[in-house]
Amino acid sequence: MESQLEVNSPPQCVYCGQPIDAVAGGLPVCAACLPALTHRPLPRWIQIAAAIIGIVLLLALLQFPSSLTAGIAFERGRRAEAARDYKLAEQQYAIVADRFPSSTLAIARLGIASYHAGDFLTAMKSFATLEGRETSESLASEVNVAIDDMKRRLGESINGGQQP
Amino acid sequence: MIPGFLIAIVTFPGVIVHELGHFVFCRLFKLPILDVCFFRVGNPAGYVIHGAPKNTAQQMLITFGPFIVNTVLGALIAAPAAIPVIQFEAGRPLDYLLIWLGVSIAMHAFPSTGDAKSLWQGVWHGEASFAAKLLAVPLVGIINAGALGSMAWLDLLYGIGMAMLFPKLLISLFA
Repeated sequence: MESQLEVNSPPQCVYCGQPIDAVAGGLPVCAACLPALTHRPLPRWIQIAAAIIGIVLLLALLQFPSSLTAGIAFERGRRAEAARDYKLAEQQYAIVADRFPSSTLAIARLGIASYHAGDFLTAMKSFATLEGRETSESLASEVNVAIDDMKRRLGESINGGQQP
Repeated sequence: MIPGFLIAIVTFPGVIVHELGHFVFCRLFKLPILDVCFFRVGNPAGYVIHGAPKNTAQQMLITFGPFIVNTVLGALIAAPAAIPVIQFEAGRPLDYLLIWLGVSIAMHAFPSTGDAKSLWQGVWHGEASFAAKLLAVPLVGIINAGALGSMAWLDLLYGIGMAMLFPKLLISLFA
């Protein structure tokens, strides 16, 4: 909040209490006190608080490029997936999973994109890291469908290979 | 309903930055600052008492300076952490600290009713042009509406919105 002091009589410096003839700078302040008030220094604790906020801002800005890159990669992956360009989607989701390895969403999407791209090894590796994690029903269902289909297709190819 | 002083305590960095915004603009315009409180447990949680600005532009900047400073600073601090926390649910403790600090700062961007009163006095009781006086009417109205909206957590929604909107904007711009 900011407020302007309203000037009332009698004319007296509100800073030092000395009687004054005129009001300076919109405040009932004597000429001797005015420079001190226009150059009022910041309290030490505010300087320290400002320095701390400055350091935190620097920390935030330092991690911003990598976070933003991951966010952009995820969006590109999502668009590539919608366009059925699963190879590109896999590449983009891999960037996100590399930056945020604890993100269930990023790893699940990487696995799903890899599965659609035919890269079953990456898909299986990704799904294996998801074991025991909680996620939304729709994402879990997508992952399960991919796992079941990969198992079926791998089984078929193994059985097919054993046949004379 | 959570008392205002509790909200001010939890989000105290925002109060400090808001008053610092008023203070810096007063210093910039070489206005005498009679009294300043950067934070206290009370109503208002902070204040700056200063001399009359020399013109309407100075008055506007002193009133709306903290709105700009708090919004930009809050968004810049919270945005990098909002991506891992909100989008990927992969936040570390530092990310949660950044979000608290950024949202606290951004939610105190709104000028207070005291700021609105000061703007009104400065423009309508000063030597401002008629156009400036007309401009002050909706601005004071918006400030008071914002203060009213704060009772329905509009300030918190604004703070969270700034933290989320900024990275979303950048992502959709560059993706």
